[in-house]
Amino acid sequence: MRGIIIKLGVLLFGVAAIVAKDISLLNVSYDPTRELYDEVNKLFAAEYKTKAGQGISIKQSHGGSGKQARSVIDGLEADVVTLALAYDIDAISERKLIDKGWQKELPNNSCPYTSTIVLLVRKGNPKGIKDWDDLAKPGIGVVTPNPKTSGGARWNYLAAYGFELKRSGNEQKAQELVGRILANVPVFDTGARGATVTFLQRNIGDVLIAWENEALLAVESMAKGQVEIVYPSVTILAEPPVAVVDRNAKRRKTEQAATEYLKFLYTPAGQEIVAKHHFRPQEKTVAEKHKARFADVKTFTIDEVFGGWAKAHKAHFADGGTFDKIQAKRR
Amino acid sequence: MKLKNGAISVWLALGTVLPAIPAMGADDSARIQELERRLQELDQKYRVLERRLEIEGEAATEKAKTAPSMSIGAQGFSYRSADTNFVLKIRGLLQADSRFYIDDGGNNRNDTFLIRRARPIIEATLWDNIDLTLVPEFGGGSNTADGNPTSSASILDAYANIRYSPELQLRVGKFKSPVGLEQLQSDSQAYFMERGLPSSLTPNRDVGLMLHGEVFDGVVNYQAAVLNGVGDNRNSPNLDIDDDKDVAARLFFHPFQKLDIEALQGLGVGIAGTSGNHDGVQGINSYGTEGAQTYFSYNPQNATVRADGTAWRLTPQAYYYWRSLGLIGEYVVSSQEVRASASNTNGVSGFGELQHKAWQIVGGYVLTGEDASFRGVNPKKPFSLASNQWGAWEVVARYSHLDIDDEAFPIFSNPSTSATEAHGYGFGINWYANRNVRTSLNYIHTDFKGGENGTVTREDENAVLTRLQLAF
Repeated sequence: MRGIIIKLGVLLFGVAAIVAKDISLLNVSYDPTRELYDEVNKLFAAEYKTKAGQGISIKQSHGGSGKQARSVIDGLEADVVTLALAYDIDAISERKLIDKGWQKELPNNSCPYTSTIVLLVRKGNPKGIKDWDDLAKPGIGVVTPNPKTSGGARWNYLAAYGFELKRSGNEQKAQELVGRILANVPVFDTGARGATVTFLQRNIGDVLIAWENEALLAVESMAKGQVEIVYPSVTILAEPPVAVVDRNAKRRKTEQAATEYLKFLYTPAGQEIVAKHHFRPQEKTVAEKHKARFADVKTFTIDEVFGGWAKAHKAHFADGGTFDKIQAKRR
Repeated sequence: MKLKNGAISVWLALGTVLPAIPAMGADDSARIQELERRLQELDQKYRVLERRLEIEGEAATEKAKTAPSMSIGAQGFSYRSADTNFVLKIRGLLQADSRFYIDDGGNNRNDTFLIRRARPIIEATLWDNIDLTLVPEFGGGSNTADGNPTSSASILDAYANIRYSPELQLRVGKFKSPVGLEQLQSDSQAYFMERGLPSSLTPNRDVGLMLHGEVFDGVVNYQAAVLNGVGDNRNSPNLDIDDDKDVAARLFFHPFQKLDIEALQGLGVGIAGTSGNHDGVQGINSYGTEGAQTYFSYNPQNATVRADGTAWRLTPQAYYYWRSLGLIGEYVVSSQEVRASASNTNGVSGFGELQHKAWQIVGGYVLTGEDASFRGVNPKKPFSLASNQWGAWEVVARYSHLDIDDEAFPIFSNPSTSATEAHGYGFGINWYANRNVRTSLNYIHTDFKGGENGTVTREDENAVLTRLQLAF
């Protein structure tokens, strides 16, 4: 009798195990990647269905990069994160949701595309803005999001800071420059897309410090004929990374699909979509093909000027860091 | 309103600016430029203020999304986090009964009012897929050896259920053993106030762990459990009565659920069973009627009886629901090796394997047209005098039979006091005033074979039971 029952149990679990369903992934991303991943998701789903014979749906969540990372740490069940900066993914990794060494799991330090930080001004550049120090002049309205919540805003901040360090090598001067620029910011949005809305739709300010992809999107479609891009003399090379959220993916049995999804970003098809949405592709052939679309701007990396994200965060954006000190002086 | 206020502010500001501008004269152009500059400045200030309000509004909306919500209604009180990953629910069940026996000369039970069940039900969800259930019992449960009510408080259910997927879930703690069909039906939703004779032979709550799930959208339900093991119709005392463990399994199919034939969709058939070894007096039990009278006990003269060896149960079972009609049928065999030990020289010692059998068919029909289901009746028109609505009315009937193994007599049970067979039938009516309030009237007849001359059971039992039930 007992044997029969045990066999019955084994049979039952066998039946349960063969039940397979379509997969769903959640990509938690930063603000200005909506359009990019809209297109990536459609193409990847079609390709995955053909190759793996399994349906897949990918949901997106967008917001300020730091805020998004916090949401994942707090329980948002992301299968992958595609955030604005490595520090935010490191923060998730520190909570053991992402395996250590995540940045070595995909090519180019897990950055399938790059971008840079540029200045978007009103048509005809009425305030004559040409470089970072112009943003510090009295009477200039600067729009940039809050570095406490937005990854893009941290890149913006460090781009201006690095400009002064490159020019004078003087930390004090760099702090003063950034302090004067921030003093010209009338309103802090939580994310890059919100700042774009402030500048373009609410018509606030004279200059938007923006991701290059966001600025190109504005020039070509969002505010065609109303704005133009100014490339500063030197700016920062922004490297938005991607990673599988290992713990969530393992639990949801989506590891393989999530990894394939991120690898797809590196394929020629994925890189074409990257270029189409104004991100700079990493793959050489595709990058060469679209070279003319991206200005040849002089850039520095965060490792080169700030010693990496961990150091930059601690010095500038952690509680009591330079950003807090500058803000305290404003009050 | 915001825009209007903003526009008013701009004009008020202009009112303060304009007088400051020199009177029109020589350099009108310069003055106009100055005016435009100030106007732009004011416009920017206004826009900034408006945007700040907008961002604050967005932040408030975002914050509201993460704020927990509270609700109270027919399904009780619940408090849940914004992402619904964490939920706390508080529900309750109260059953206020009466039991009256007709022509009950020599009956060992009193006519009585009683609190049959009084249970706060606390449920919680953690991290979206871990459920906790805690149900204390403050009413007269059935924790005593003879299945009769007691008034002492006890933990009825206390378990965690980890939902990996609907197909694969793990339950750990104290919960209903997955065996008897009517036993598995919720206390508040069964057709009759008390379960039929076959439930005497199936285990009640036990402690252990169970894998279970629904496959193919509920076409197949399975449960497979490793449990401490309890005697027939017993609740676990929260720890094991011996070293051995029981294996319990149940497989239940809805073979026609996916077919487009409504009359067959509600058919469910299954089989369940347990297997293990029981040792000790708690491994066996007395059997009682729906009116809570004991008619069989392991009570030989001058000897004590205890479980001592292999115990197994097997129960094919089925139900059928179609529109307002519902039927439940089950057959149970319960086998237990037992040992009698003489307490003095007049007693008889012995060892035997006893197989008791029972079956029943019970059903109901909802007169007011609501659908019948294993999970009870939900009135379409809740009772309201003002709206001339009368809730749902259901008539119910049962026939059941329990046969004690003849080998039980006389070594393991006293034939002059314990019956060898019990037949029961009953009728009843249930009135569902709304989802939360139900009243029941049951008439139950049980007659017996054997045991007529003893003190435990001598006559047919005719019981009239009533209940007011509040469940939320």
